[in-house]
Amino acid sequence: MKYFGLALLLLIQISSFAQSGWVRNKGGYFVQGSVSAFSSDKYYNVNGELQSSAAGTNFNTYAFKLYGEYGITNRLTGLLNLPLIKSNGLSTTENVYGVGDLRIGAKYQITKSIPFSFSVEAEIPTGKGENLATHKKANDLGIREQINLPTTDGEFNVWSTLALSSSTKSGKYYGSIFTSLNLRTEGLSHQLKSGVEIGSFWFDKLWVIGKLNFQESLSNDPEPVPFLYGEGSEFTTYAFTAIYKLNQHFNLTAEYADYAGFITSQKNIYDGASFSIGLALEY
Amino acid sequence: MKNLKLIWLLLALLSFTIVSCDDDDEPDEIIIDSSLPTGTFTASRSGSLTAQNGTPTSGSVDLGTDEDGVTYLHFGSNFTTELGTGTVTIYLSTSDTFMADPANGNPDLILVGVVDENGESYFKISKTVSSSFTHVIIWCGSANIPFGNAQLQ
Repeated sequence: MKYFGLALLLLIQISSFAQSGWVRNKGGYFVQGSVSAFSSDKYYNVNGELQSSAAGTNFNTYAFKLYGEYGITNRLTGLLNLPLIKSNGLSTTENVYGVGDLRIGAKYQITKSIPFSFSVEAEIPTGKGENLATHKKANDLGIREQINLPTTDGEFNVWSTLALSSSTKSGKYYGSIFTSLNLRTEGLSHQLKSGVEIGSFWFDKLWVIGKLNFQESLSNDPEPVPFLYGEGSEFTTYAFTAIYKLNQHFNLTAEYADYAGFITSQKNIYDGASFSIGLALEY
Repeated sequence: MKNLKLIWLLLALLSFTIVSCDDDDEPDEIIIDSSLPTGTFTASRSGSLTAQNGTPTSGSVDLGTDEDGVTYLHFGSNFTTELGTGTVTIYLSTSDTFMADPANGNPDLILVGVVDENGESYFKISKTVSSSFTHVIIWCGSANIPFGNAQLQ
């Protein structure tokens, strides 16, 4: 039972990185800082067509994110996700910088015997959704063209998530499934996101996790807005995450994620791999 | 000589006063827009824009000359495209595909102008436009993505 308790603690820790049925104990908290990088020149438009003209023009984005959880009660956990610094740019333009959307909410554990939770998170824009990146060179008319690469989509939206998790008695294996509804404002399309995650624990130090998510737009008539608003964006992603326990409270994290087209094909996204590393603290 | 300078000074002050008085009346200034055709614009080739990449690009476009023989590209009052994403440029192209070749001076493209607003507008083209330029491309240059194109015929 004691071993199971330790395993559950570890599972709760892992659950910080994805939607899960677990919550934190009252007073417990988790804070993670991570940096991520993404670069791609494979742009799929809103019709799902790969734009060959964009080949060679990479979209690059980098971010430093803070993520936190706090156990308000034994069933209710507060959630906070803030991309503190984001940089966006194309290989043809200078980079622009800004703060990403603040995502704040709470997760309530409906049943404890079978970890099953419902969470609501508000995504609050940190700007008007405008951040013009200027072309590095002037065109033939002597004009330096600009493109809007905002770090915030400028609209308020609410994510509602149901998640179910389960683990083996040894605590060395677990699985989670979730489904989320993203209700958007400013006339943008609502989104549905679902996923599955499995993890296994190795050498009493290392979690190895596999994730598979997909997102669909709930409108067939997306608004013509900058692609970074995610309007009409659809995709399937897979990811591999490693979490190495440095000691009882600190963890090193690393993740590789990429897009795939086998559940939902790519629409209105740059398709490519992203990498992130982070440091997490838990009490 | 001194008197001459004094007269010029008085004339200058008088002119300033008259201009100032004119400012209080109805505006009567004439704006000469060199991008507008002189006299009647006559279209030699025309087309309709087809949208690309989810943009609301549409409208009519004409290539023609004014009474002085200057070439213009004319967008009709029904012209629209997506302007919220940044700078949108207009090219004449030898096909519906944007074929950049900057090392050789982009022989398949002529940069015509930048879209400032939707609706009717004229773009003066100082170059000679050969018949091989068969298309108009509405282009997002920073991302290298087309917003729409029209075949001129």
